[in-house]
Amino acid sequence: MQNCSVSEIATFVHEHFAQEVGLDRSELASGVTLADVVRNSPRITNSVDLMECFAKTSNAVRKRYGVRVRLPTYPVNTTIQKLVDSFIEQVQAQITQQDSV
Amino acid sequence: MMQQTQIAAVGRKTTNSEPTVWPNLYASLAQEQATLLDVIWEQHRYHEHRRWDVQALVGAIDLSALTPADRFFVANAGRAELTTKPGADRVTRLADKECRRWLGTHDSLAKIMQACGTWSRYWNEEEAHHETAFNFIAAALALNPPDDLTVIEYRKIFPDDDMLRTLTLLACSEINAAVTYNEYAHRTAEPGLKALLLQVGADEVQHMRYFISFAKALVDSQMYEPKSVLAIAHLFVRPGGEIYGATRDTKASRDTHVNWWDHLDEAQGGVSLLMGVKKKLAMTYKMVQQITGIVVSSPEDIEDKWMDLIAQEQSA
Repeated sequence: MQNCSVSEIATFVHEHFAQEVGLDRSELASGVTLADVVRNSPRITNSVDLMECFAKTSNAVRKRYGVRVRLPTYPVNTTIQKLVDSFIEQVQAQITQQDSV
Repeated sequence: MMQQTQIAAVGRKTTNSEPTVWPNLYASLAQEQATLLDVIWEQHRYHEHRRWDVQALVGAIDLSALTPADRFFVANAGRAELTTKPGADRVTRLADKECRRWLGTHDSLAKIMQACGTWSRYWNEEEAHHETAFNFIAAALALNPPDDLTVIEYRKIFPDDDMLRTLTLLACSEINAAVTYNEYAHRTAEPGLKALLLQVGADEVQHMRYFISFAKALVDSQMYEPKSVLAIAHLFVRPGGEIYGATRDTKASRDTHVNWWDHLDEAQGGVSLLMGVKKKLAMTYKMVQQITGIVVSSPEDIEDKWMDLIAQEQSA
């Protein structure tokens, strides 16, 4: 756990989220917004579906890194990058906290 | 026909007992302890029992005595209530669609959907009282009442979603409305407005009970998943969630429909339609338990239990 880098976490979150919404990772470039995701996804149709994809991604992070990411509340014009940053921030903070105990 | 209905309803003591929201709807219909006519009769009894006269209640208000806070509250309530008609129209359409979908494969569920779609006519009519009462006052006092284009905009019919999510969202919306009306009823000094608000608030509580009853029936059928209930509860109670509506830093912009809680004026003098958050949270926790049997006690608890249900699904 101590060895996981920011880029590794980012890749994991990005890939898992892309899988949940049914899009290719290349379709989730940093400027893409959550509204774009709902519009383009073949799997989800509204913001509650989107929220469930956050939850599934958070569960995958918990399984992989052993930390619990709280789900962010963002309006639909938020970029994917901001979402990924929020996940990274929480994972790093909890890992740091665990290491210092 | 009338005689048959009376005979079918004898077991419900229709003439002597207080009408109520049908308890354990799924069991009643699945075990053939009741027919749709029994359920509809009880819905109608309750509707008649709770009827009231908008002109009489509005006529009892001394409009000249309304304070700036009263006026602010009434104007916002009138605008918010415009969205209930498209909400009810959506339930009517969605319930019938779901009824046809289940008919033949799960008839008890088809009956529940029909009971819900039928009840939506009462909901629509009762909400019309609220909208017209508040907007009459807003127009009479020139409180910037909604213009024609605003009315048309607020009438956009909501898009379809999963039925259990829809019913839970409507229960949450009724909780917000009921608590808000009740809170302000205890703040206003004008007795006529107080009486109107208490009446409207009581209607909203009754509507909430109906939505909870239909949602519980769907969960009881085991064809709809409790995670949907927790998802909607989470949507409302999470930090920055729907319960905080117009006070959020950033609001959702939609071109499909209007959520009333996103379009309220900034609070004035401590008055807004977002009062009573603590009470709203408590009622949401109770709603989750009534529909699913799952006990929750905080926004974090709802998130945790919802995510646990999703994790179980992921690992299945």
